[in-house]
Amino acid sequence: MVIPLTPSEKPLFFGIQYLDIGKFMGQELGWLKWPNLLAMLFAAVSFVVGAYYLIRYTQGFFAGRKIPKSWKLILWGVAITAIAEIGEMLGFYEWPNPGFFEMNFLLVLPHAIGGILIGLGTYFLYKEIT
Amino acid sequence: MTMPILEFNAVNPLTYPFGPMLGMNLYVLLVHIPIVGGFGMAAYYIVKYLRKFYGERPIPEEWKTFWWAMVWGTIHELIEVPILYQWVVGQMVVIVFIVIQVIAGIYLIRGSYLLAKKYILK
Repeated sequence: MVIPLTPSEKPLFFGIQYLDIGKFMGQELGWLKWPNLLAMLFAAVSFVVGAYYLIRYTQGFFAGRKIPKSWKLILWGVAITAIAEIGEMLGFYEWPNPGFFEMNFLLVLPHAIGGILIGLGTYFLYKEIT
Repeated sequence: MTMPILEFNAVNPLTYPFGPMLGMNLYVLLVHIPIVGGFGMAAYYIVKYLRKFYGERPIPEEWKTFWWAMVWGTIHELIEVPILYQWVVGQMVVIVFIVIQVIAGIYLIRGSYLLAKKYILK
């Protein structure tokens, strides 16, 4: 039976020295080490690429016109979520000793802010035509 | 110890991951509402937007794909909750997580690429 691992009693500011791509949430990945790393890298890259193409889309669609609040929020949301996906890798791979910096400023907060911005952006997108 | 195939744990989110630090545990738990809710809200409002904007007309592929990106993004954020709380642990979970991440990433790249392609990349 796996005992869920909890962070060390003395929280660390940076936990990068504990980063181990062979472990996921403190458990040995075995043969899943490389597939998991590639999938996590791909997820982070997809948000960067997505943000890039959405910028190109808004530049083209609104050429010369002011970009509405909705699309600005969606763009920022996708871009900030890219940071969260990088932080996610650090958090999962450093567990059970994730750094306070990585967990808060690269994972939890960017995830929450990114989610709120994307959600609000699509809400305004809908409200703009109603 | 190698990761098990699949195991379930009863972990109380009020006592995990920071043990007796209830405030921190609550913070980690509550912050998942905007994380999952934001993507869920996006999937919901994009559907409403498309139904309103296109009406009876067919919805273009780029918008359908972008909407799917938000749906899979929501699933991606959702599965991270049991992973973080280690309610479900094992190789099966990692495999499902890998598949979801790849699908969500493909839809996001394709959806945004198709949107951009229509106006820029000709």
